[in-house]
Amino acid sequence: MDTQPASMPQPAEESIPDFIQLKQIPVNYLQQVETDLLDPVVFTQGGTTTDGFCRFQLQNKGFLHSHSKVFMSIQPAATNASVYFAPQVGIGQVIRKAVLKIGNKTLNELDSWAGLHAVKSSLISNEVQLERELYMTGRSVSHRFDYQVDSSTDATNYGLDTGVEEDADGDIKLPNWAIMDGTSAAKKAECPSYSIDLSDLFPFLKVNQLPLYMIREPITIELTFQPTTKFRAQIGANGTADIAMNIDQNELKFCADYIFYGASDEMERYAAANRDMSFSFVDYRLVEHTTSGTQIGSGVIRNLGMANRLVPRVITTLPYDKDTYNEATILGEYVSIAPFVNASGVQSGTKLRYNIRYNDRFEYTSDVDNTARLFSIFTDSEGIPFISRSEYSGQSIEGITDATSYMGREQQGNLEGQLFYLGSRLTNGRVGQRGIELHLTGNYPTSGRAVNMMRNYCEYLRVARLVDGMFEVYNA
Amino acid sequence: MTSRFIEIRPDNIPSDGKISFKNGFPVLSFTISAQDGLLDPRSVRIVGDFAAYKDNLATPTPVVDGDGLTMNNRLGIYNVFESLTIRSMRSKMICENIRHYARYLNTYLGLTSSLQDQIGHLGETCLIMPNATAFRKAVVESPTNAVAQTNSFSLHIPSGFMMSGNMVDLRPDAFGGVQIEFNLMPDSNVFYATNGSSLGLTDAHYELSNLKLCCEVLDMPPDQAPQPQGVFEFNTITSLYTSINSTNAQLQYSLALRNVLSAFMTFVPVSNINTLTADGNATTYPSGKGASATALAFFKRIQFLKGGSKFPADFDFVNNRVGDANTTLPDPQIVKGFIQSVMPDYGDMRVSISPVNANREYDMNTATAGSSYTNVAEGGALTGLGVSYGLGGQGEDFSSEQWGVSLDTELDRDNPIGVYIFVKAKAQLVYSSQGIQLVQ
Repeated sequence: MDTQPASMPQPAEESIPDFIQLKQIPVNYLQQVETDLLDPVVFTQGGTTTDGFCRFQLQNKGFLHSHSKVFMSIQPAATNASVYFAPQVGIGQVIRKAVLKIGNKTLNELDSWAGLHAVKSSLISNEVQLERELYMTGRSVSHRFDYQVDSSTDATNYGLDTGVEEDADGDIKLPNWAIMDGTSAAKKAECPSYSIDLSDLFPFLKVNQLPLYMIREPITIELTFQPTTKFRAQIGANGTADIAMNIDQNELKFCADYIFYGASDEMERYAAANRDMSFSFVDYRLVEHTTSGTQIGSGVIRNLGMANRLVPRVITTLPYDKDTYNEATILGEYVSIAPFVNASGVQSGTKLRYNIRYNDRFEYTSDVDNTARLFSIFTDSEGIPFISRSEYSGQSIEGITDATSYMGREQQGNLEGQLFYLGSRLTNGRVGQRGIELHLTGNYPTSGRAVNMMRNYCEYLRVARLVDGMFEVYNA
Repeated sequence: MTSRFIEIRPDNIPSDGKISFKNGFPVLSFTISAQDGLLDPRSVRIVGDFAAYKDNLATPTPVVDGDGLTMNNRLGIYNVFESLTIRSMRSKMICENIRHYARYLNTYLGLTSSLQDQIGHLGETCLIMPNATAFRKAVVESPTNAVAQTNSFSLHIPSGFMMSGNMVDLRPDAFGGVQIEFNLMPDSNVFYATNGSSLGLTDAHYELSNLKLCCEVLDMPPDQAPQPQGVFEFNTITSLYTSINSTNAQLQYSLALRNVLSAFMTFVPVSNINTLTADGNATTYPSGKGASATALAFFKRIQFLKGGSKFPADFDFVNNRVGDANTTLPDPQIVKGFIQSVMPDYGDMRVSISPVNANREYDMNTATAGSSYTNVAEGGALTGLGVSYGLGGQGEDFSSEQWGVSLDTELDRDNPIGVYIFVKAKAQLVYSSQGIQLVQ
């Protein structure tokens, strides 16, 4: 039967996806990518006690690809022949602070950024770290059994894996190309360049992307670097301390990928239809307190603030004194110390207790006193951390090996109980006037690698509004 | 929607808070009571501490180096669970019951987690360490015999009900409360002596303490409460046990299940079960060939059957060893079927089966022999047979026809081999204010 054209259903007007929400863009949507390799508009190397700095300015075109990369390389100034990045944080350990600005408004800003990066990096599987991240970012936490001599089955312990067999001295080394050598100009020139993902610097870009072409203000990325000595890299056992690790300015680039969608005027139509648009995103607020093993032993209650904000998660790390333990360790300053385990393998003394209180309610009905449960709580909040039992809680005396070393440094003392990340997903809605209280008690070391700081990263929701090319940012 | 993290003590905890099979507590159960809330079963964790003792004195002596006592290293804390039963508190109806739970998990963990998973997060939460010596030293043994080292665990409960992804409506007129019950494993099937002798270890036992169940319950919005009726879909596990003792074994079962997704089976010498001298939770090849009871007896031909006919493969799986008796690697087609029966192709393929732990180079001697099955690296021997059914996850109807398998092996010696069969099938729990019904 013939059908009158007028009565036939008309195809709906072509729908344009919401380009700033990555999940809503069809995988087969037409797009073109244009890549610019940007040099910093401002660069300061920094000094032995002063921070370095650089600023990149983006062009206001297309959409900024969230996986654009910052390229970076470090060169030891002299002497040191075996310099490497801490395996749990990679090249990220060079960066102390990351800021994304639009005009004079700060969209995302985080101090001690590498501390959060270390926590988030633990969520990458060990296999991927060894096989991809070691090349891309210098991160390489993976494990291998330390098999007894002449045995392919009998292993008492395990340690870090670099993909390279141990040498005759029982030392596990990184591949040659990953070791930075400052002993000659030729060796310096061979120092590897690594990348940092833009969405790692600014986590909200994992789900959103910025419509640069719709923004009429300058967009800048500002990175603050660690001082040149102690914190930018780790040195092998025979290395000399306090040698400057300089950022190779020739290698410092921002590889900006700009995406252009559609075959015709889809982006113009999208801009016209969204002259006033807003989206919510997550930002992190760092809350640092000095503390000590003695104080935690007596029980600490810290107010993390965040009143009247929507806070989905809180991450807590307990690093040691970075002025004492820095480049001459395996993990550097971005660690988190576990409660003390004695020589008998017993978590003795003051009982571990962890809880979070806000809106007049404790998050956990009774204080959490089990390290494995703390691990599960962290998993529930952030995802699965690929950290071993010895590295996390320090339990299992025979876990990390003391038979083989890593870049010349003994593994047991450098790894055991050094990645005790705490994290909680908050379940009781918007934080009230009294803010968030963190309650922590436990038997912590008071000497040696003792806790001297409590570093909390509070994830909270913000809203960005783009009106006629001008940005506004406020808390959700 | 707001939620709450809750903690629940065991229903049957003794006054000292310590539970051990040896001292008369073979059952561990938790009850999540009915309330206005939605339970996320994936959030359920059993939390506590584990300790191993070599005797049963008033103050028991922790196992130390030299005692030669250990457990299956891929199972970690799961060694202590004989069976899992999940009940609705409203009608006491059993929603899911997995017998031989530890054996099921030995295969499940091996085929759903990588070696790095086992060294890493599963070590922290479930006390797994995929190497026999490293596990013994990290979990079973304590540095001194004065006090047991701290072994904290926070285990998840892999089962169809718990991992379905559905929320359980805990309201009294909906699904109601949930009871999670474990039958604990006898100590003699948890531990085994590395030298095959139980001398001085007959009172060896494990002890669980500080036990609690932790989970998250979502608050029910009072203005948006859903109707107290619904359907809870999940994949359930049916477990069966039999034994074989001939070169040609025919296993036939009336499953009475409609949507069978897959089935797999694992093997262990019957003489190794429930004895302190051998690992009763290992998943090895059948053994007992010619003059040797410890030599492996390999599969030669395998047929999976439905109603007596070959199905789904209309051909025999002839093992690669038939063509080359010297090959030590397993048949890749058989291994692939085994993996797919637990984790379909489209699933997350983090597995730890490898030529290291699935080869034929071990024997059934005790651990003092280097070639022993207990010394196999990367988690221990990981062997089994499996078959998947149906396209698109619909499964196969075995409600009116028998499920079966025909095994042609080299088992020509009197050495009964225990066969544990696990069948995965779709199930539905239909609940309303009238009651709860399990539809399989």
